[in-house]
Amino acid sequence: MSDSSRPDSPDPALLGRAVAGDQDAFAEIYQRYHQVVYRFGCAMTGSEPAAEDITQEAFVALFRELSRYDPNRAAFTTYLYGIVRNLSRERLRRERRFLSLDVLGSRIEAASYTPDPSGAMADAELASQVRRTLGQLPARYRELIVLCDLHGLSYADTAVVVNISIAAVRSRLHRGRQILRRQLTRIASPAVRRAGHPERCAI
Amino acid sequence: MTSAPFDDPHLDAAWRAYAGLDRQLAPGPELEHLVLARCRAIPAPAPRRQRRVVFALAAAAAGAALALTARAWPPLAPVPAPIAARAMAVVGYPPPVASRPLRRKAMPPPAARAAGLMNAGVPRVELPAALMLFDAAPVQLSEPLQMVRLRLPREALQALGLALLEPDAGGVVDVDVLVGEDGLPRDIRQVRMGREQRQ
Repeated sequence: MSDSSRPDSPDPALLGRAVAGDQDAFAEIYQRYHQVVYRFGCAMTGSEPAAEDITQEAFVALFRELSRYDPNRAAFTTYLYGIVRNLSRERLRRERRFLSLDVLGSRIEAASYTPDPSGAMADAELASQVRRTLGQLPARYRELIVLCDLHGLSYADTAVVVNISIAAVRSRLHRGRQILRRQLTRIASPAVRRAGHPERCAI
Repeated sequence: MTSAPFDDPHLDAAWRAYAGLDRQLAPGPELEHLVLARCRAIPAPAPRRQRRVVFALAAAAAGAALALTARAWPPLAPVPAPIAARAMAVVGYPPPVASRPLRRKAMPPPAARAAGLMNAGVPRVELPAALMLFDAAPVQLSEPLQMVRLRLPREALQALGLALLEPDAGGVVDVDVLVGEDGLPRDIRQVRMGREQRQ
């Protein structure tokens, strides 16, 4: 399944203008892809400041290397995901830190002001459990789950981004989902059950 | 739509909640200004053909520089003499003995040594253990020094100002000369060697 929030590849004319150094064309590319890049960086690092840095570095790298992009080899989004993935892995290697939960904390706070506070709170709690568990997965599993299950990339595109075979994507994704399911069931079970059945918690 | 990786409805609901919040994530507008400002600061990349020409010119220049360097080798300026040669020029006598490795020979029997036959027939010069040469700069501990072994005629020692016990005896004396960094001798001392080594 494809993610509806994932934009299509830019047309060749726009790319050609950006390659030629047209700032407006590049700004348009930024507008179209910055959210995807930011979300992927956020899911990989678990930190908003880190995701902002990665977004910035990714677009600067894209601007420098745009002339090397070959549409016959991969889709533009795949190429961009590859850049972000490399930057994220490099950052994780450099800092060797686990996912922080500051992103989710702000989201929970924001969600509390929605018209249905209890429902939003429950959603935020669920999301918190998933994010925490996802952040504890090894990066090689996490990136596949984020790309395939969260961003909706196909196995073929994911294989190009991660630079492994499609069969390896399948097996690794299966293994990652198993770990995630097991961890989530074990760690987050009370919260998930409670949030999934609000009527059972009602007085 | 994102695909839910779970069959369990509760876990599926949790995943969808997470995905829903994730879709709302977006960087602030100031990030766009930062990115575009940085991109504006980057000079426009040269076309590939132009880059090839630049690389070819750089390679040609490097090749020419290498060729010129190889041609000028060895350098035209005279190579400074080794420190030992300069020291010999100062002392005024050629070949240093140390250029030929000294062979250790078996010690004479104790009886021969006791009889004083080791130096029999060789004119003797008694030097102090170490003698500061005249007109020589004082030895600095931090100065790199080099010891050069020389075989000098006795007259050379006389020229250095040393009083000989037998002025007309002739012969040579093995000495160690302590040479400073400037090639000038600092100290001199006699080398006491066996008879065989003298020959």
